Amino acid sequence: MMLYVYGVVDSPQFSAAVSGHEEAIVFPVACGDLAAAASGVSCALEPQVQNIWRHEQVLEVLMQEHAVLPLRFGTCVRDVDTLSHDLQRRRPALLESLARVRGKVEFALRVAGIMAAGESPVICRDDTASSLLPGTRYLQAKAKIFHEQANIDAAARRVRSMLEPDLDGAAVAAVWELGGKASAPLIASYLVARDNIPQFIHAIDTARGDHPALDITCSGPWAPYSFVSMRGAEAER
Amino acid sequence: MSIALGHERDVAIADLLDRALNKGVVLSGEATISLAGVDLIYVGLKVLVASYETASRIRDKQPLAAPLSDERDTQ
Repeated sequence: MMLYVYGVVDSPQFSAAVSGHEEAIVFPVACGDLAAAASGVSCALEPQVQNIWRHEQVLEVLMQEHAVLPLRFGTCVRDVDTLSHDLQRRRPALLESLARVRGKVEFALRVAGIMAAGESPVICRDDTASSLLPGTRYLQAKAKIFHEQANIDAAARRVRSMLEPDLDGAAVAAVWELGGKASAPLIASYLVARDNIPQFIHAIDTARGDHPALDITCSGPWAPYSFVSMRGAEAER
Repeated sequence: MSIALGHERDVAIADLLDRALNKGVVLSGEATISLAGVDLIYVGLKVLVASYETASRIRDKQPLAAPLSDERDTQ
């Protein structure tokens, strides 16, 4: 038996009775004025959709009353003492992150069709005549790949700058993932105050109307996974 | 609680998988990201449901068949 950890809440206790993995009751492991939400599990969990939904559902119940830092799916510790020790060591950073996400949720944004809406492609000479030496053909092929990626990156940056005026006013923070592939959507995460959710949804609709060539998809609200990343030295500072 | 504003539920699942598997607080020390009996090929397929981009990123970073628990140490 070990402990599965769902997240960290800004209270040493929580009143919500919630079942976690294997229908075990989720309980607080307190560390001063915060606590980890954990439950016993008999074995490590596979990343199946129903398990990940359960992870998220536990966090959502806790978020109804508390600020919550979601832990990455699959986080297990040996026992309560180990978890308490980890919390104590990272307490300042955890409190800082809790303050940042209190009262806020995350929305996921996917934008497809960025090449159609992006800049004109940079033309790269594609001279693959068989008369060229193999080394020359290799370098030309590498240059072609480089220019294609540069076109994608430029289009992504331009689409981002097109959407930000509509979206940023309704959000607290945003994280964009650039440098994708032409066939993959541009992805962003937006941190939104609960009170501003209607405004953010309206902003999404506005962006869709302003940029009909883009396929804009939004899901949420989620626990703020993209705004709590702490690991290693950063977490222990 | 979650709503899908654009496409169907599949998009919401994809977004959740992207976040729960790749983001969130990582406790170090004695904590482990433990996924029983899962190798990267399997995880790659799971994540592929979520996002081609994510799956590609993981495959590029990790040797095939390495346990996912190693991912924490390599980032």
